[in-house]
Amino acid sequence: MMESLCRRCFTRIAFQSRRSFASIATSSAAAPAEPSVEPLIDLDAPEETPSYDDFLPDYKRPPSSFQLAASTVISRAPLLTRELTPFETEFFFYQRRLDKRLVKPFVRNFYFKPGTLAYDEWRRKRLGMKVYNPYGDEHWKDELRYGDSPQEDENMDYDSLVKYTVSGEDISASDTEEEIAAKKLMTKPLPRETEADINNDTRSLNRQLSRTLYLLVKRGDRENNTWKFPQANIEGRQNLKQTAEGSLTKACGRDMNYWMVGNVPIGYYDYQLPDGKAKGENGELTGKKVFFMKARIFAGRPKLTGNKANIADYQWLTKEEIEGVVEKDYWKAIRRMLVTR
Amino acid sequence: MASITPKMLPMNCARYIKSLDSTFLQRSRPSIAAINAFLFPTSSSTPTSSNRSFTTTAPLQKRDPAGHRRFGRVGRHQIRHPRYYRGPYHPHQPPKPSDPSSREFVPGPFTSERLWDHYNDTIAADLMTMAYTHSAPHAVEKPQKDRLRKWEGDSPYFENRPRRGPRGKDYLPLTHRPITFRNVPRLEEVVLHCFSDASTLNPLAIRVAIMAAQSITGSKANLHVAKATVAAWKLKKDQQIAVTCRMSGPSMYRFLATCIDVVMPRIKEYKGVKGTTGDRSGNLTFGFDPEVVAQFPEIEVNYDMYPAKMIPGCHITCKTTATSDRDARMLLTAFGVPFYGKIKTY
Repeated sequence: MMESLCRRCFTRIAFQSRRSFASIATSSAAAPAEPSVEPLIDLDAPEETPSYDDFLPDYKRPPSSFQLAASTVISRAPLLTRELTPFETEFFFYQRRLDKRLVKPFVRNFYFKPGTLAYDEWRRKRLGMKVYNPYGDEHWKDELRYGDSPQEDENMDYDSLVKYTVSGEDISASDTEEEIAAKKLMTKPLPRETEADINNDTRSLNRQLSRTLYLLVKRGDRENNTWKFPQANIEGRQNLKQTAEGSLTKACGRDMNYWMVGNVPIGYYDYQLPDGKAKGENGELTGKKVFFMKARIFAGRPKLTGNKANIADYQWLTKEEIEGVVEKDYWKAIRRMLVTR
Repeated sequence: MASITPKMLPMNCARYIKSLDSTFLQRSRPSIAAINAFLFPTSSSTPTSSNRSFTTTAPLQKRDPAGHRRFGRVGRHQIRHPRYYRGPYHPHQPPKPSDPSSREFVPGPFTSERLWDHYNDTIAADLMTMAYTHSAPHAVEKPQKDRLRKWEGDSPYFENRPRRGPRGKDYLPLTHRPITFRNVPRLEEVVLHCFSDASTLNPLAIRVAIMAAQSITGSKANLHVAKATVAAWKLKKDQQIAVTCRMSGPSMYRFLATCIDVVMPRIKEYKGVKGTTGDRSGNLTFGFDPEVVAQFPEIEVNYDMYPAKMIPGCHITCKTTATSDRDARMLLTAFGVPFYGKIKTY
């Protein structure tokens, strides 16, 4: 069978057949005497390497002078909206003003019936608002005055939003002043810049919330180690995904909750081993080929204590910051697979 | 006169020249600067009517330096160009639609769209990685089988006859190309469709449906009439019965984000979108009840103004560039649309 099938097809068939036998196995197996309750995650347990089923025991990798390796590009997607450039801010403001000049004016009687509570509330809220009226006498004042930001002019800062948009519908006459204040209170949004940003704590995932962050690690066992994505050599008959996951577990422990995006590499890097480092079973290895696999983190943090890959330090960096810390050749190989934002 | 077109001169200036003796102008062939000096005399050099001459070459100061009277009415944004295009040889050529003074100008965008940015920065790259199928470099692509069958037989009528449709189907399914960085599935258009069954009894209901659809989508509504009379549904032919709104670009992403983040979480015991939705070509549809449509923030803010029980339910069709429903579902799942129940394999 093995001669006629490729490895991928063979794996699929073997996997399917194994699943079909699983139900037979469970039905025939004797019920366990006493179900033991185990904790979901045993943090103190020794880390074990993931076991992989070998579907092709006779398969032998063809000889090559390159050592194959897989590396995990684990990233955190942006959590906040992107920051607008000054030009975009100005441009959007200009377009909003143009829109106000070109569309028909707001017909208040159509949206709010005169004499109703909603109408009164709407009028009351508008009293203090700085509103540009393209149909009034001062229609020509459609530009910002010196020192005004567009946000300030359009009542979009926190205080104005609370003042002009929070409705008092659920406030009843019997409420005390404190209760009214509590009902009108709107949670103030947290600043875009976090504490980790201010302290420049690159180990924290809570930094650069509007950017994609990538995990880089540094080995501590040699002098001239540089920053890299977690990387491991392919051993035995592991595939790229398994090796990449294994490299992450070895380097950063099991405290990270992540998912692997797809089964294919997103990047590739090869280099020649320096003279005197060429090795292998027969001394035939002259270089290394690294395949980058993509992963996304949900939560957690790398655990360095007791890691098997001699990792001394880790950082969560943006694309520009990565350029500053990695080697030039490495940067050339990885820069195309990192998103701009 | 032939060398001086109205395009090069202020409008009132051109009119003035027309009223002058054309033969005189043709003979002398004055420069524009000379005409300007003639038409807008300044106080420094005030030529009398008797000794006005075109020999002055130095341009004098204009009376209207800002050019407000150049065309149309006074004021920067109050220019009204002629309504109809009068051909390429007419002196007035309409401006581009991107020009704010154009009649076709639509302002925008007004802000960056969160969902669109999220798609560009996060989702698109992930979708491509997940859907990638490797083929060796310089691998020869298998030629596709003919999807339309030939007419086989000895009949002379089979010659040059258009080919037969696919076996067992009356439609030709889309071909699937491997996903590369060029054709990552993306959202193309969102269409909101409201069938207002209340308008069979009350013609006012279709107006309510129009206003509801326009306020939640922010785009102009298209009216649809009934094709046929159906007595059981009290439907009459040519009766205005349904409304559609099309959205694309930023407004489409804004609408979808409102659906996903504001409206869907408010629905009680919401299971999600049915997993079997789709037309096999990457267009998925889901629907909202009238009570749910009333939950849209644009309607909720002045809910009292809508007559009772006239807000219609709606169907929302998401047209994607995916060629299969599977890929389209993956895209919408990444946006945050929940799917439930039986999931189709295609």
